[in-house]
Amino acid sequence: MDVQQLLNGLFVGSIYALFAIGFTLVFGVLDRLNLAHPAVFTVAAFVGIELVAVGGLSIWAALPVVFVVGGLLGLVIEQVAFRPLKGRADAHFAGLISSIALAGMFIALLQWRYGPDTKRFPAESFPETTYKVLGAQVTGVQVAILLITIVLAVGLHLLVGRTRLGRSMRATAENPTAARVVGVNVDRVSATTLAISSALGAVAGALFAMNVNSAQLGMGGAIELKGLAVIVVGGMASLPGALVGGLLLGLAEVFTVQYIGSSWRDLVAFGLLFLILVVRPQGLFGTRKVREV
Amino acid sequence: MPGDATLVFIAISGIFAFSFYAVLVAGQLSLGQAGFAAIAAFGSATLAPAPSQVGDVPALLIAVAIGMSMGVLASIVLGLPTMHLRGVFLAIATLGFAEAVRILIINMESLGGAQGMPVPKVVTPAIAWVFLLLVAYWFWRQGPSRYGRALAAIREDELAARAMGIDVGRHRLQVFVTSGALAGLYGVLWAYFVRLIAPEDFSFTTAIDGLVTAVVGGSTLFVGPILGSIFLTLVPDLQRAIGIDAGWIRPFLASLLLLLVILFLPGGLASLVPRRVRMPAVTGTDLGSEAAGLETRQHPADGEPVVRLRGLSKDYGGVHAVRGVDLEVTGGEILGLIGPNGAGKTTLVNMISGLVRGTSGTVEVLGIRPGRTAVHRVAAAGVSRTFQQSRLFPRLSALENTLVGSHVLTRPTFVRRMLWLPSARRDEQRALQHAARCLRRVGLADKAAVPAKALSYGDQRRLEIARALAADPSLLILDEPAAGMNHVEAAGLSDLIGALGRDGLTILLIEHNVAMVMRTCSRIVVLNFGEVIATGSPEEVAANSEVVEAYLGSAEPEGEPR
Amino acid sequence: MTGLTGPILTVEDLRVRYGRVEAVRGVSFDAAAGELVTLVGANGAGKSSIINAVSGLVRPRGGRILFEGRDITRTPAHRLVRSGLVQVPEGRQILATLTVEENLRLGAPRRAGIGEVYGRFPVLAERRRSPAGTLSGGEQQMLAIGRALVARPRLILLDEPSMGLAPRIVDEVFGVIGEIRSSGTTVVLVEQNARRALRAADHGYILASGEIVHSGPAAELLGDDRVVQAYLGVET
Repeated sequence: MDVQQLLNGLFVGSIYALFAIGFTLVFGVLDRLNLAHPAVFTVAAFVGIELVAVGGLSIWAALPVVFVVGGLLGLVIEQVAFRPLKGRADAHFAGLISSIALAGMFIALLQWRYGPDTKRFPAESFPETTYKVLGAQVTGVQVAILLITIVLAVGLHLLVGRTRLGRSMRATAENPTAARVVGVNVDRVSATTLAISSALGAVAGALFAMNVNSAQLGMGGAIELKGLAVIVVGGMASLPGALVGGLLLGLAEVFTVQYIGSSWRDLVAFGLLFLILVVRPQGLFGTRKVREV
Repeated sequence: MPGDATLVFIAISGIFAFSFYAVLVAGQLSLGQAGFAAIAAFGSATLAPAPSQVGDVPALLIAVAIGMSMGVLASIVLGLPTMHLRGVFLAIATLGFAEAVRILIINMESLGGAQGMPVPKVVTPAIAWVFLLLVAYWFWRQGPSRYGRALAAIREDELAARAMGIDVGRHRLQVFVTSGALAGLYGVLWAYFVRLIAPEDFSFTTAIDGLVTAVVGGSTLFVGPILGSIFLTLVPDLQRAIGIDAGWIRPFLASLLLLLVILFLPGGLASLVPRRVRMPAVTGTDLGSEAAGLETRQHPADGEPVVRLRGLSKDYGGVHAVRGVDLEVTGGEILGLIGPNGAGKTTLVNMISGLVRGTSGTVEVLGIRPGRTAVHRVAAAGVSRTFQQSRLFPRLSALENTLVGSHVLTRPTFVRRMLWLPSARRDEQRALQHAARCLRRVGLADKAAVPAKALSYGDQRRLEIARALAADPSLLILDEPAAGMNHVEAAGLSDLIGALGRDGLTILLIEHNVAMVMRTCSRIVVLNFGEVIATGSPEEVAANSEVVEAYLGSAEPEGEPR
Repeated sequence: MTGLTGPILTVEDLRVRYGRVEAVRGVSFDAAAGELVTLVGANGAGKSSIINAVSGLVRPRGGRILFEGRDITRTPAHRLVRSGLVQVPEGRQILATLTVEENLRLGAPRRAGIGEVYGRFPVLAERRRSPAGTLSGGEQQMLAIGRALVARPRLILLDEPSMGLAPRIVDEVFGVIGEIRSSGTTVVLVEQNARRALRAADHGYILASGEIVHSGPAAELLGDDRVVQAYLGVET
């Protein structure tokens, strides 16, 4: 086995993880699947490139901006796709559809602004330095991807576990009515949750664009399915599950390419997905919910 | 006039939308249709004879037969292991399947890989529209059939549907397979029209387009998918007509439209079509039609055991909801079950109707073992119930709700309706008259066409009773039917229950309105903390100090006030 | 300290509907500062709906609610909690996956209140790191009350605090309610356990079918046969 491959799997996997963490956060707290998440990922990739290519920022300075842009998009998603459905009996289904619709509008607007072609960062954007790790070549960007993912995942973990906002989020996740009784502003928690989720998805998008140095309109669709697979495998609503699931998928894909063939790479996610759904529907880290009549 | 290509696209995307409609009518969200279509398209293109050998139409028909069979097979293979999944989990699993199919096809060199494979062009607008109309006909006939109503019931409230005797698992698999067959049909027609099929034709985006078409068109009336397809296919034409042809406009408009529809017009375009309200065509007098009634059940005779509970207990975590209850209900009895909040009454009746399985002890009802038997079989055996929180099918009319109630008594009509067999019409008439009688029995005859959600609270409670009565039950369980009723309404309800009892029905009445239970029941059982604390006639129970205390509490730990 | 300042809570002609169901049909009552007022009545009489309307969880269809003279009819729950009006909901509604301390901190603008609650309920202090779902029913009820008290409310609404609890625990709960009241906090108590509630209260209101059918000083209602009738509908 090749250390280089292992590391490559870890880098890609951490992007999957970051994307999936945002995805699963909304599902966990709000019990909604936000299918506009991949569109935020895509928008962020294009915005990141524009900030560097036109705005003249360094790639490192662009990331915080992308984070904020993602957060703002999250607020838009909450206001347009989810808030109006409050109290509707079919809110689950309708929320899927309204977020798909909003995603379609985001992507159409990207197409209008940037056209259908692949965009790349300017040639001189990336630092030249490479590092040697156990005999493998690692670029500065790759190191940054791993570090940023770890920092954001740990940060979110602390936020959810230790802060007032985190407690409010967990309270809302468990029982929105009980949360309201003790004074939690559930509407604001919803908006904040979507903003954080989208900010993470946006950073994942920008990092992905850096990793492969390209952004395309279809990039969200490809990661959407993998992200869904990751959160089902990890256990819906489980943050550690999304992290582990993402890394696992990254590694599994790299090994598939190595030992089976590159065209089979994309099948790995769905193989894992099916296995888990049939064998352990609550996922690796999920708990089975018991519902009463 | 739209061109030939536009006409064909309207028809085949309409068919694809119907493959989503097929599952949406039963409240299921499955997104595997692109996968079924891909299997059918590549399968039929590979296996069917060339049009040059057997002629265009025969070749297409063979291809359609192959494609639809493959769609059916694929949906069974996918459906069996995934049918236990609900909501978004089913959507994700089926989506994953479709994507896996696409990747597999890309990897199969014999099918042309990512480049795809050429297929002769055979489909004309006429052919495409004939297929579309056949599919629409299917759903037109399905809608008001017994099968169609069962699907609507599952969509509205799966648990209540189960309690009305509908085998939810089988119905879900059936709609899944129907959806697979239609997706297969779409795949074949697509293949035989576009000349070159590629795996990319059956991607995630394709599935989303189909779903969007079905949702925009509406999933409550069979014209929905056609309306959706016409509308969405014509957007680019309209765009050209007004002179904007930027590539992003169509996806933007389609998405915006989808957003507006889901936020402001949840029933889709089809909900704009005025629906004719079908009143029950009750002919003849009540008694005259009784002969043609559906009641064929042999009810237990007076004194015969109907319910027998032995040491029945139910724990939730560490909470003992019901502990060691022994109880017998005999034929023709009206038994009252009372007790304070949280005494375990609802848990007990949930175990009797099979919705909840006891932790220990045995339940025997009408010769079967609820909890060990599927809920719909308990209903079929003659147990019918109402729910504490009304669980009507909110968007169905009062009459339709009652018709669903008679599910266990009636015979399937869908296939006979498609063939226009007169016997289907006769069966329907009988079912309608039976339902109308049940509505009249509870005093709702004039509200037959009103959707359940638009009824007043008292009427909703009465409708639940009518729906339960429609199953001609041997045991009727009423869970707090008088909750929220005023005194006059409660008195009327009490009279009704008394009359039903005189007809020989065995009734288990759970009520908080103790006065009403006292007036209605011959025997009363009192539960507190999950245990039976008293049994007896209304007078005995009312005089029991333990009962009074259970309700009002003692004022002081040491005893009575004053 | 009471009486002179006028009622701390005034409810005028309150109406609550769920869809087509009218749960509360024009109810008026008030509570003077420091008073313990109880609303009693059978299940479905509309007691919980009144509590939920006052605490901002459901929006009334009609009527007016005044808290310390301010109109709070349309104020959302989370603002009311901050301004000193809290609810202890029916069925306790503690957050089972959060620890005891996290439950308390949700309700607390300041940490000081938590110490007081631990002082009052030592059992909660012992179990502070345990998930609240692992507490016994009685402990959960204490947590629900404690969680309301950390906000140092001036008005506390208790919805069926004795429901599902063994008689010995009910005694404890009523003991705590008495203490809350003697510390000067106004209490509105909703109970099915009418005798206990009336015994503890200053003033009582008897509800049936969403209306107040009878009211008066609690001691008088305690001896009134009409109370029994409202529950059992029989002469006893």
